[in-house]
Amino acid sequence: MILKIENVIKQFESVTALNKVNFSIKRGRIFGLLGPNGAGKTTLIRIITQITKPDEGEIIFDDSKLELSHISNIGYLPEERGLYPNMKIREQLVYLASLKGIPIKTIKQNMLELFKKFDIENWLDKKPSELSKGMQQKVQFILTILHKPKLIILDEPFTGLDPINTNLMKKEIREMSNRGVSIIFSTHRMEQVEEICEDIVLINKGKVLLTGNVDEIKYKFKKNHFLIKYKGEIPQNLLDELNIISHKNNEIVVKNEFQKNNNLLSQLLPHIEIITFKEVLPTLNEIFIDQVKGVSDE
Amino acid sequence: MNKIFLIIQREYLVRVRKKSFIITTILVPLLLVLIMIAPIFLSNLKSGSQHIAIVDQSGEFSQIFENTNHLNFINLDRNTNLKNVDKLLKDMNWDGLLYIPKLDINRPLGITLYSRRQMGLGTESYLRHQLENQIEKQRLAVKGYDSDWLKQFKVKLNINSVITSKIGNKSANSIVSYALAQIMGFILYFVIFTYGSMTMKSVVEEKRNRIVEVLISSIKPFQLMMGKILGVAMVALTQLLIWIILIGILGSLVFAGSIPYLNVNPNSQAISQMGAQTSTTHIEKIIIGLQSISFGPLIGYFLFFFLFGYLMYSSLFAAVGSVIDDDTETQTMTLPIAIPVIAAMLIMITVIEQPQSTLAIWTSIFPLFSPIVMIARIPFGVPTWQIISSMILLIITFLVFIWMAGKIYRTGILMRGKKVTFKELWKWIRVKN
Repeated sequence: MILKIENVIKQFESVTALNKVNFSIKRGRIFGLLGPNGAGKTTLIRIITQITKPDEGEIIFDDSKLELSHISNIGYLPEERGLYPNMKIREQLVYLASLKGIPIKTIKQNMLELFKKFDIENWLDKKPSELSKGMQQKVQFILTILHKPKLIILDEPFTGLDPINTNLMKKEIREMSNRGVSIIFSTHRMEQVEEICEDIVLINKGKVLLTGNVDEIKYKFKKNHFLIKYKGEIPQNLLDELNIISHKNNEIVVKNEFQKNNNLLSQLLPHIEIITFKEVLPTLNEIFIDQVKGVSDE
Repeated sequence: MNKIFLIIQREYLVRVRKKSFIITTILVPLLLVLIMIAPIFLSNLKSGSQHIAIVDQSGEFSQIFENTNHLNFINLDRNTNLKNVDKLLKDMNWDGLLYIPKLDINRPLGITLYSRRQMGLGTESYLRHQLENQIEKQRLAVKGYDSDWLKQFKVKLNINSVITSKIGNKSANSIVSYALAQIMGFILYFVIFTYGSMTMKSVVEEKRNRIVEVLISSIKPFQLMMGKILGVAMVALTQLLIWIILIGILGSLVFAGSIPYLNVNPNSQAISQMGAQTSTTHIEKIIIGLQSISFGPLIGYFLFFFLFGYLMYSSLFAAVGSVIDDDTETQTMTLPIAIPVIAAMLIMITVIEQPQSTLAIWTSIFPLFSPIVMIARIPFGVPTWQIISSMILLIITFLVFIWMAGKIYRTGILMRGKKVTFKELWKWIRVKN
């Protein structure tokens, strides 16, 4: 485990931002931190980055209690991000990274390496005010990973990026994960989570609703929906017997809870030719909405 | 500590490298010295070498004006036609024409000085004094006295002002103290405002650029704030030290250069012969006054009150900067800081008239006013207990303010899109941890 959050509580005046939050992040995983606006994601991140302290609970980073020296092993790209508009990129990256206690020699070496990799070496002597927003974001991403941290926290990293740069960043995230770097990816954009995250935690109103592996969670919340694509015509009496979720053209989604799939198919086979048969797992978006709704309905 | 140093370094270098900093650092002392010496030089330049024609109807006065390096006199025929004086002056390239009618020495009226431009005070007073002297002589002669006889009664006085308390027991001159008090008071007022708001701007910028969250994930907010305050303090110190050195060098160069020049000025010599107060004796007084002041301790006090006055106010400015979200709020939020600074400056102006009054004593100890008021009192001599209690109170207030500012700053910089009330600020200060 790279990070363990244990019974963390944080209270702001009358609002409980985090209420006994528990979860852990495995080494080298891309971990999705999900939740609607105001769920407590930013508060949690600010506790991990030691901007604020929890009222109660413990955070274990890299097998020891979180402390100030861990700052040099954590990279953080906040949602509210920016650069000094009139300071040369080179100077400001050296400055910002040296504040984390990284030796200047290492910073310069890593900086050149990364700027070469992203093919933007010629930006080093420019000022952010000369770059577009997307370009600045790329620089900020490099700043976040510049000191080769063990844990990287990305808060909505893709907002404002074009598809090409988004892919470039995703590729880099995966590469880092393969090298054993752990990544916390905070967002409310579910399709991105499904695409890149292996594990997630879903929090709402300061509480953990669910946490675990993405595929396992999807299985856990499966609704026994099956998609059938076919040729031919299903007789009306048969259709009436089935629990149909949706039906359009030659595509049908059936909820099949009480019989084996083979039985279902043998019922259909005399009438139609089956082209596709597969289970439809719920999207994270559906689970997210269901879970969040479930809590607010209580 | 190392991290604070990095912040200080950046804040310092960013500002010191700016063109505006370099220009003001060099220009201000130049201008100040220019303003100080301009009147002396201007009056001398005007009297440089002037040609003055004299039409003396009685013929009794033309001999009293002697040519000097600076003034040339041309005696004209008493019947010179003065209908077109302007053309005459222009054609002959004379600077002035002095017309002296036949005078009734008891009612000497009608003396006129024609000129195409202002002649300069020195020249005019020289002419007047020569004429007065001559008329005086004539009046004395009528009564049967010799003018030398009168001289023995003339008195020339200089009052030597001596302050008897321990601090100021050297002979000091009130003009110099007064000027120094005013200059130092105003510089501190200016410095507190300029650099205080510079700190505030720096905080606001980081909040607005949204870089602040990246920063405080690397260092503690208090370190960031302290680094900023100290970085700007170093900038201010650099500027002040350069100013003090430049003004010192330029001032002494110019003074040294102008003193002999002033002494050979025939006008002032002539005038001082008349026993009148002249610019020469003023300058002598100033030089004596300056010599009587021990600049070492004065600069020490000045730097102390500058440093802690700035630190105290800039911690407030930093706190305010962290709370501001948009420009419209800046004014309402800085007003509570601006009021005591402006009040201190106004009090300072009254206090230098009466530096030992009760108002002076208490306002120079009260920490919000003391940096500006106390430094203005020091040239006049202040009892040690007052200086020490003023200093201690100032340090304590600074510590309390910086602690409060740290609390406000920590919460303020991460706040967005929300107007903050003073009540809330008080809550933030009281929050633990």
